[in-house]
Amino acid sequence: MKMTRHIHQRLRLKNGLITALLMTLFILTAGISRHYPLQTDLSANHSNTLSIASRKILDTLSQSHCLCQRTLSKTTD
Amino acid sequence: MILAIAQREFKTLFLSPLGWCILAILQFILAYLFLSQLETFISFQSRLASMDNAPGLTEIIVLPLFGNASVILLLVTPMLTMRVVCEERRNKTLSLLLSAPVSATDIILGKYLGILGLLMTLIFMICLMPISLLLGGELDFGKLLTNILALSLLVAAFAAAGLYMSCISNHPTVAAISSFGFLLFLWILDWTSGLNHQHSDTLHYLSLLKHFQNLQTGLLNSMDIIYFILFILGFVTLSIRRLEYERLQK
Repeated sequence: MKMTRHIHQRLRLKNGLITALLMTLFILTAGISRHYPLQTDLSANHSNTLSIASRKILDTLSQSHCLCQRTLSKTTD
Repeated sequence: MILAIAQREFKTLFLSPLGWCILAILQFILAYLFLSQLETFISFQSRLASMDNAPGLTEIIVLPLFGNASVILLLVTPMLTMRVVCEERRNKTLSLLLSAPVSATDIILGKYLGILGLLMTLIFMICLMPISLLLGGELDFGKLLTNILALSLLVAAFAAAGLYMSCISNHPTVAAISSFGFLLFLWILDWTSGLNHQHSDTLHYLSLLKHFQNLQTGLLNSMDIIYFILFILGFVTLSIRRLEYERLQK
């Protein structure tokens, strides 16, 4: 088959389109992986994970912080 | 065919003195850093024993070793990848390779695996140092595993970017400098957000260092692993497309 200018241009266009499609796919995958991360703590004593006791303290702290803010807004009103 | 090209590439790296020199110099520098960290640990050992939740061998010796190795490999990998395609082009052997009944994918994947073979040998040699610590102490195997994984992914990403730069450059030195510049830029990308006291999510995500450091802590996050995989796939795909384009030009 003789390589005409037309075939050459079509092949180049096809090449470019495939590259663009693949790059879009990669960017989309990156976006999805950012929004739905899965993680496991592999360190020996789970040093990167909060213990249940610490989480409970943080929960009570955030609840009391919300309560404080609500009372503050009521008094200012 | 991919394996045949990879084997040829791997052998070529060891035929030249460059591969051996890099292996020897890198091992010497890292051994020096490893021993100095070990000495620091020994000098602090008595004080660490009296502390609650004191950092262990892994935190004091292994983590800095892998951190130092990553910086040194940032400098070394462009030197290894610079000649992969570029030299073939300069020696006019690339035209022969492109006219052979081998696809561009086979050529690029073969060359990439050849380079990766040498780099994995290097990582294996680095891993022997922390493993030797088992003779006299205990290691956090989870952290060691994530550190090995982090360094392997990082080096594979460096090699992929270097391979692409080698594909688009006409001179090996230009390929080495441009890939080093590009990797260094990605390495320091996150620093600017810290300077301006502004947090940019995109810069944070694009930074190579952030993903490497996340994995170093022992936290296996899918986002970090996918980032490295996409980085590698992206640059390998771009290299294949570049070679395909070159084949069409001929």
